[in-house]
Parts: sequence; structure tokens; C-alpha cells
Amino acid sequence: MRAAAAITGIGETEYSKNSGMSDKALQLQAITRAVADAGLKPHDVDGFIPSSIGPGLTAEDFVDNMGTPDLRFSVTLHIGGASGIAGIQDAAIAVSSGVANHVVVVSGRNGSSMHRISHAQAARGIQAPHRQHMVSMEFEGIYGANVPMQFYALIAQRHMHLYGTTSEHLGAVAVTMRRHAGMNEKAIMRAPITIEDHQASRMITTPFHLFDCCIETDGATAVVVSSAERAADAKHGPARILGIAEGHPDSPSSTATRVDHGRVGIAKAAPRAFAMAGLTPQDLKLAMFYDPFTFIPIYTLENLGIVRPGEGGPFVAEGNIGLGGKLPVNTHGGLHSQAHSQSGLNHVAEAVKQLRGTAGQAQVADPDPCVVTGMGDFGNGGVMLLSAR
Amino acid sequence: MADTYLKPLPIPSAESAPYWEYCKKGELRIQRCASCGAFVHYPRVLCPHDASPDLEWTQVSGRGSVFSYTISHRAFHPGFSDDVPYVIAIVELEEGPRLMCRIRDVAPEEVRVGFPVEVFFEAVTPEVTLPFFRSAVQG
Repeated sequence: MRAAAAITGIGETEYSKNSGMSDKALQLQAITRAVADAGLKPHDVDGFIPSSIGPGLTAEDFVDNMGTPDLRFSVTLHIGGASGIAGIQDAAIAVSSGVANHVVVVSGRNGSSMHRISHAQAARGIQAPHRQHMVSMEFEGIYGANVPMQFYALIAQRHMHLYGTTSEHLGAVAVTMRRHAGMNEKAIMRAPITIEDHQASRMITTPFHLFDCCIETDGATAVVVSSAERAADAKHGPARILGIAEGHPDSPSSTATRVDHGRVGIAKAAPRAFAMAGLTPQDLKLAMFYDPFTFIPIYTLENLGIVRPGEGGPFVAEGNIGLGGKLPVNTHGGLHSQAHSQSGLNHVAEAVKQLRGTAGQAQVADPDPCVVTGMGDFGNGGVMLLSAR
Repeated sequence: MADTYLKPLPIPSAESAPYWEYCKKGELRIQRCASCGAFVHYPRVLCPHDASPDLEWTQVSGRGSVFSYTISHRAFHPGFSDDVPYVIAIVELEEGPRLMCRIRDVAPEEVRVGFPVEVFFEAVTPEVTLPFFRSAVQG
């Protein structure tokens, strides 16, 4: 499937703390912007891949509003922050096999003003838990392990014990994300922070301080995936999908019972994605890493094989993931400082902008090839390798 | 036992119901595959190693050590508001399987990876008894 499909359009709403729009209106705005960006008309879309997160919109919601004359493909994923990349994989399979022509992958919600993940959605009844979370709720939620940051904190603390990863290493990620966000007009949090600010921010759940945690925002992002053949007519140069794969950890529903606590879905997906692309981790020029917590980019560097286990902390602290470093990461500011509520599709949008050369102040001179990762439910993952060449 | 228990309670499934019944009797029992001998937790229908349906509820020592932990300084469910800061840990039992639990009756800052712990049981409602862990440091 190497280069058999491409991302031809990207669409983003404003990212804000209070959109004043419905979840559905946000997603439809992102979709129509992505379709226009691809140089298509709304009726050209014949596939939708919604995300089950948040409002739980269905393909039918989009067909009704877009007047889709011939829906040929639709699937809904339930793997949280891995749903964006895994959804693009499904879209690529659909368009490269001829099942559909142009498939929209979309995610978004009023993540700040309505659906706060950090406020124990289950307790408030805002959001129905996914079926695969029932085991964790039965055996872990009863002890006050209720939100993602607690599950990731347990993984991070183990990593610190094994490898000597420090809070300052985590802080280096926070400082870098915020610096990048300062160059991005769409980012919510743009004021620079220092390591001292990070260390002084209040402790939420050890080892995570407030500044180790991403923001939650209102907003939506959509991408259009087209076959390589149809992508040739795209309004902007297509971002070709050289390699893509999803992966799942052993014991996906429970972090506690995983045999190998340090190896998650992206570790399984990465070799497949790189093999498909004919690339190695050393070929990468730019990276968009799903970053709900500062530990995750460190973990991702190791799980992708860019550095060895335990080397991620020193790697980020030495400035390697900042603009001008060896491998710039999240030039838009990431979930940490740009926006979080779209299953990481804002990372995909930024990768496409970089490859088009339209990333503004944060533009990297040679961003090609670029890797984008997703991670959801504490270990499901997606890895995508994009190139404009 | 508080008059009103505000924390979430387990909603047992067909597979997990025996686990909670044994807890009510003060026994920590984990499924063990009669075919390959592997401990299986959380409760399953089949052994994930060999797909055997012969999973036997086997009593374990209740002793183990902290595999990892987090001290939550904020409650994310209103039922835990009065408990902060509290320790959530992944406990590795002597027999090998891991489970998530709270470590209680210990100063949070004393907890480390490798910290020895032992199980104890508490009836949180007339119907539900939960296992917890506490320090097993001698002396």
C-alpha cells in the first residue's frame, strides 16, 4: 500500500475554550474546510470515518448534512487518540482498493466547555464509557484510578525507576511544546514557560505536575484521504502516505496486567509502517507525536526505535526535539499547548502544512519525511509516515 | 463503614463475580489455568496463553511488592475528595500476576517501587468487600 493513498485536504476549526457551537457544527465546519482545501465539492466525498470520542457522531450525521449522494464506506473506531491514524489507515485501504474515492476522517468536540476528560466523565454521566473500559472501571476505577493521567503516571513512574528519567526531562518537553506553540497562531497556550515554571506548577498525580498535562479545548479537525491517482488533481500537493500501521498492546484494556509495561501499540506498528515505507527511524526529519502528557513523547521516541529504552529523557533534555534540533517534534505546540480534542488530527494537519511549506514561523527547512503517531486508551497506537515527494 | 459510600463500586460480570464473592470471605483468589499453569488476571473466559476454558480460582498469598505507583493530589471522582493525597499502585503478587489497588495506612511519600505490601479486606458496604494493600515492612 506504499504511496497508494494521500492526504489531499486538511480542515481545522478555531481552537478555543468555548466555541459557542455544537459538537456537530464544529465537525462539519472542519469537514467542509478540508473538502475545500482538497479542491473538492462536498458531494465528492463518499466515505466518512467518525471518532467515537465525545459526541459520538455517526456517518449518518454527516450524510444528512452534506447531502452525500453515494456513501460507499464508513467505519467508526473506538481507540481514543489512536483513532485518528488508525482511521486514516482504514481510509487509505478503502481508497487504494477502489472501494471509495475520497474518505473524510474527522474528530472533534467541545473538549473544554463540555466534555472534560479530566473531570471523570463516567461519574458525571457526560460521556458513556467505551465497552473496553468496563474492566478497568470494575477493578481500577473503584480505587480512584479514574482518568488517563493516572494510568500514564503509573507507566511514567515505572520508567523513572528503571532508567532514571526525571521530572526535569518531562519539563523539557513542556517547555519545548510551549515554545513551538508561541509560533503558531492557532495555539491556545502561547506564553513561554521555563523549567522552573514547570517544577513550580502544582502536583496533580505524581510524577505529573500541571504543566505535564495537555490542555482540553473546543475544536475539530478533518482530513481528506484520496487514492494516489485522484490525489494527482489535488489543489495543494498531496501528502503521500508512504507507510501506515496500527498496533495494540498486550492486555489492551488494563495497563496493570501488561506483560511488558514499556512496550505499547506503536512499538508493534512502527516496524510495519517503516517497512511499508522503505524507511528507517534514522531517515526522519520531523515528528508529530501524540502528547497528552509530557512523558509520552519520551516514551514514543523509545517505542519507535529512534532512541534506545531509557535514552528518551536525556534526548529531549538536550534540545533535540526543539526547532533546530535533531528531530523537531510537534512544531504546532502539540496537544500540550496547541489543542486537544480531535484524536490528534491536529498533528496530521501540522504535518501536512510542513510538507506543503505553509507552517509559518515554525516551518522546517526540510521536513520530509515526517512521522505522525497516535495513542489511545493507554497503549493502542498508530504510526504514519508522510512525504510530499 | 461510612453511612453513605460515595466511591464507585464494582459491577461484576459473569466471569468476575466469583472474585468478589471470595473477597467477601476474605480470600484473594486469582484464576489459574489448569492446562498451562499461568495465572490470569483480570478474570477471563479463556486463558490468553492457550485458550483453555479451565480457569480455576486459586488462593494466593496476598503478599507482593509495588511495581509502580502514583500519588494523586487531586480527586477526579467526587468520592475520593476526602482521600487526597492517596496512593494508587500496581502490585505484583509473589505468584506473579499484577493488579491495580490502593496502598493504605502508609505515608504516601514512603511508597517506592519494590515496596513490600500485603492484602487486607474491608467491607465498604454490606454487600461489597474490597481488597486493599498496606505496608508489609517488618518492624
